[in-house]
Amino acid sequence: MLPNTNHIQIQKLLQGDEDTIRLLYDTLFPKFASFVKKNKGTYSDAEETFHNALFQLIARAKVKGVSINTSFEAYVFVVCKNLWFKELNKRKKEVRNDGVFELKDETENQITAILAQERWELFEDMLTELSEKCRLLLQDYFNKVPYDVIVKKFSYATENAAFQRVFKCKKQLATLIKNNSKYNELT
Amino acid sequence: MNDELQLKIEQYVSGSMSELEAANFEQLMESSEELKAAVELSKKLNFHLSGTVDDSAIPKNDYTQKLRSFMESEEAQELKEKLRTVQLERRVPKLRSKRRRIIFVAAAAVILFLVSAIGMIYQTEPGTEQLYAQYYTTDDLPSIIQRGSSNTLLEKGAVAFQNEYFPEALAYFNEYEASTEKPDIAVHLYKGATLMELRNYFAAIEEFELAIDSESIDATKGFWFKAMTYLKAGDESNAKYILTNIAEHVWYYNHDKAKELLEKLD
Repeated sequence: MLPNTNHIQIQKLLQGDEDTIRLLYDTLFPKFASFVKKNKGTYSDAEETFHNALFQLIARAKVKGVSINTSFEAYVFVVCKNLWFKELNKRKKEVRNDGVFELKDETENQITAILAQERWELFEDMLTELSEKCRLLLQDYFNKVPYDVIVKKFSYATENAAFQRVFKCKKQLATLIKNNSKYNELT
Repeated sequence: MNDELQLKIEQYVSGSMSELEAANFEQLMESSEELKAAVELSKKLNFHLSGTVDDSAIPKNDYTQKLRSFMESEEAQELKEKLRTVQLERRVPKLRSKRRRIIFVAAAAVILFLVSAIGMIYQTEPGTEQLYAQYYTTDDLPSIIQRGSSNTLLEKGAVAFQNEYFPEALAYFNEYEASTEKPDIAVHLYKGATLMELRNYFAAIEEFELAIDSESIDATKGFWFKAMTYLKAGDESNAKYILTNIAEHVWYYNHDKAKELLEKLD
């Protein structure tokens, strides 16, 4: 029996259905290739990332099941995008370390990427449980919006009051994540 | 965990502690697994909120072990192989050199210019694609959602279609057909329209023919959508042939529109 996969196309991917793979290559891949090219990558980078993202999705679906609450195309696109950002980050690190980098075998790289994607999904999910104000505040704070701007925008009395609020929102988010059963197997 | 300790975690993670304070804090971490885990989570949250990629070490647990076993299995290798095969099959042929690319772009520009110039001279009537854009509407499709069923594969497909998630819609329609012996005729019309959007015109025509062959009240809609498919594909003569057929039968769906469209095509 298939694990918990709420989406027909994931089930098809798991069965290795070539028509489903073809459709993804015909409809989604061109959009992703264009995204990669606009973000410091090449067509080959896009091919490699797309292939890995699909394989990682299959592995997740096979072992645990994947439950998505958006369109399949939108979901795969986000997975691919995150994987590409991960690759860019890795390349940046390699440059910084003057070409010295840790060699991991392919399976380990794939597992690291799967866990990173799952954490991303969990964190995004938990963010929606916060109040809108908290969410926007954290977003601004981590996007390095200056304190004086935050103070004005959210009507706080002082910068310290703004910091205290950021602190509380982050603590609230941390508690939500820690109490979520999914978090344990991702850390 | 109290607020004071939580604040220290923040200071440590953001690097705002002095060297001595950080060393003391690390010592404290060594003696408390709970504190260590809280610091890890705080780091991960910072990575996430600042849009940085988190490359934490792989934990040793049942889940990661199962992932590893699957990835090294024959089944996974076969699936990977299938992904690669389709990737190669769908690869866009690359132009071999920059020079060829330049020649190709220049030639395309010249052709485009000539086609537009000729079009401007000779084309006084709207083209098939323009007529398609003018006459094609999804309002002509039968309504599935109001038929009292809820959350069926057919309905899910119709919702995906309306949201323009065409590959997803197609997958639902295929699954629906596989799951029932007597599919609702609406599936042929929706599936045909989906295939038409995906520019798979031959398959779209086949679906509309299945709709026409049915004994449903909506069967003649199949003719109309067939005509729309030919228009979209730029096949004017076949579009005219189907439209003439509709115009000859007063009870056919969109009879008046077909007559009007024929006049514009002539």
